Amino acid sequence: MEPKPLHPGIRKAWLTLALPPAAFAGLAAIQLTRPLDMPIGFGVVVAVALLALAVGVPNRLYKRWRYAIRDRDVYTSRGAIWHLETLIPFDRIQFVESRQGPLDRMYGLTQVLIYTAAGRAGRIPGLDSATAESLREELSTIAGAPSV
Amino acid sequence: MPEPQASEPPPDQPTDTQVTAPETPKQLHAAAVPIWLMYDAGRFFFALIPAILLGGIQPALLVAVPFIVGASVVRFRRFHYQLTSGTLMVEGGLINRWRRVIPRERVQSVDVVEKLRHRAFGVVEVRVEAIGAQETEAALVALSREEAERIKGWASGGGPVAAGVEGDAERHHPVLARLTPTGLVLAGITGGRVAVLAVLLGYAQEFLGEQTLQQARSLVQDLMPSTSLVAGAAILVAALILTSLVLSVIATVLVHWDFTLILEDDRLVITRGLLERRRAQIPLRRIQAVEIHENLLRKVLGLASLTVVVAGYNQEGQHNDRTNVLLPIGRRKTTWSIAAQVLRARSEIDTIALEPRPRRALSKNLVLLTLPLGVAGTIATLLGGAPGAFVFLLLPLGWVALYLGFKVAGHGINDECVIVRGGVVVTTTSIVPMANLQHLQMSWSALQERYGLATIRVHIPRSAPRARDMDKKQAAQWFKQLGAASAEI
Repeated sequence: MEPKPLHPGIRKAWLTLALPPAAFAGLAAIQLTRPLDMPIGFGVVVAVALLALAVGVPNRLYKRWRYAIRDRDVYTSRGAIWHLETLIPFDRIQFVESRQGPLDRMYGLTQVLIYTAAGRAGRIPGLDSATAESLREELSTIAGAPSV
Repeated sequence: MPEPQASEPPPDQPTDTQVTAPETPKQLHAAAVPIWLMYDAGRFFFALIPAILLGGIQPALLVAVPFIVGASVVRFRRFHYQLTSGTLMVEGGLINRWRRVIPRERVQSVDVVEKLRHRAFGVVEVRVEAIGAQETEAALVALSREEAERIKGWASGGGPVAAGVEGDAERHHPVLARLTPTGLVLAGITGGRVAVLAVLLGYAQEFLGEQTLQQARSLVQDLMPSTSLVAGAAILVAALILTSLVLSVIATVLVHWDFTLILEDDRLVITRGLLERRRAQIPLRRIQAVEIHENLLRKVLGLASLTVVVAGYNQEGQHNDRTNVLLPIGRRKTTWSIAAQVLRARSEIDTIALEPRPRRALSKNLVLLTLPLGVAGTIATLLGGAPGAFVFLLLPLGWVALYLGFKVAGHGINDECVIVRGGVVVTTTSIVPMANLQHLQMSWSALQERYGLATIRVHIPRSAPRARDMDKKQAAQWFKQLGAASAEI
């Protein structure tokens, strides 16, 4: 299987997570320029940079996130600034779990989590519920492990 | 309720370690009552402090003593254990009753502990550790030695064990390591505690305050009036280091006295301790990795220590204590030889050539250290003047540490295991059998990418050794090779 991207809805979910704190920190930076006796433009530059990061990082994360169920293992590749590739052999999978947080529910998404004896080995976020369910079942069947 | 006959097997029970049929639930040795009393006395004392403050010690004791004694007796009467061919059942509880069934295949290790309180009653404590448990799964606080050996025999699959007598085990099985008194002293002196104290001394001024230091100074001057201030300070530091040396040696002697590591068929048996005798048993199949540790002093002397990573092993609830000492100190060659035997390596793992990191890894780390410190130093100097320039003094120290770290780091692989080495103050060499790899990670930062580097992390239960700053192409090759190998095993 060729590496697949995540559901586009995850970008909105990540933006929802990143924008409010960035906006708050940006406003704080503008406000702080007065007591620190600094030009207000400095605060504006910081605020714009923070907002750019809050928009840019989720977009870059989405573009770089890939997952693949290959012949003998699960492969994921991700990272906006630090790049991380994970490889989980089927034989080592202990159990597979699907999970939906409040933000996932808001955007109709589901996460799939894969565990080995060493702990949580991988998390594939931003899947539509049907894909997540079938992926969970597929991995559980391949690995011979019961799904949760 | 069965009578308290736990330590003596009933006459109709087989006397060897083979459990052929379910036995009736047994109680612990009657010494469990005073031993639990001793465990609980300290805890109850703290609980009694408010009562003592309010009503005096006598009324508090009048209430507490019968309560503690009664609780221990009830606890003893309700505590039972039962061995079947495949499980160990333990039940008990003072207020809430509980029952736990531990399948034999989940048993990670069986430790026999003999504290002073056990010696007083001629019994031992057996602790059964299981995979995935967050605490000791079954603590049988008072058993006869014979019963303890019977449980150990059951845990190892009912095979024959040297019942009850440690000496027998040594006669029949190879002793992998034994620590002499000289070795113990050497382990204490070179163990690193002294170095820690020396570092702490540097911060003593911060914590002790001027007055305390003044008093120490006066004390030295009173004792040796003719000495100068500098000589006095040197004597004080030397005295503290000497004290810490003595304390370190005493601690090592108490913990590792008569340390013996025996390979009994398919398990390791570790015996150690002066006041508290411990006998730990670790099945070889539970071993996830071994680690060889060398601090700066030991490296110079050609010495090292050896620990083992065992999944699910807890030491008195210290969950972060992932490893067990297999050899507190020994020649480097000896530690490698024991590591090979413990891992049952077919190949000679000590001959696996460890590849150093590429030189550009050093360049990358120099940039990573120098740039932020340089910027911080410049800002500090601009804002704070000359004292701010102190930051620049840290740079040479950092460069030396980076260079030393670069020189010792290495990684190697063959078809059996992965070896990763790193660390400046304490160099740790992790040897992970390929069969234990669970999952793999390869990562790189923007700076690593610029220098063509990547890091590989191999995840095993309870540990995740990593080979940092490898050549990126080689890392990708490892990632592929390790992934294929772990999927095949």
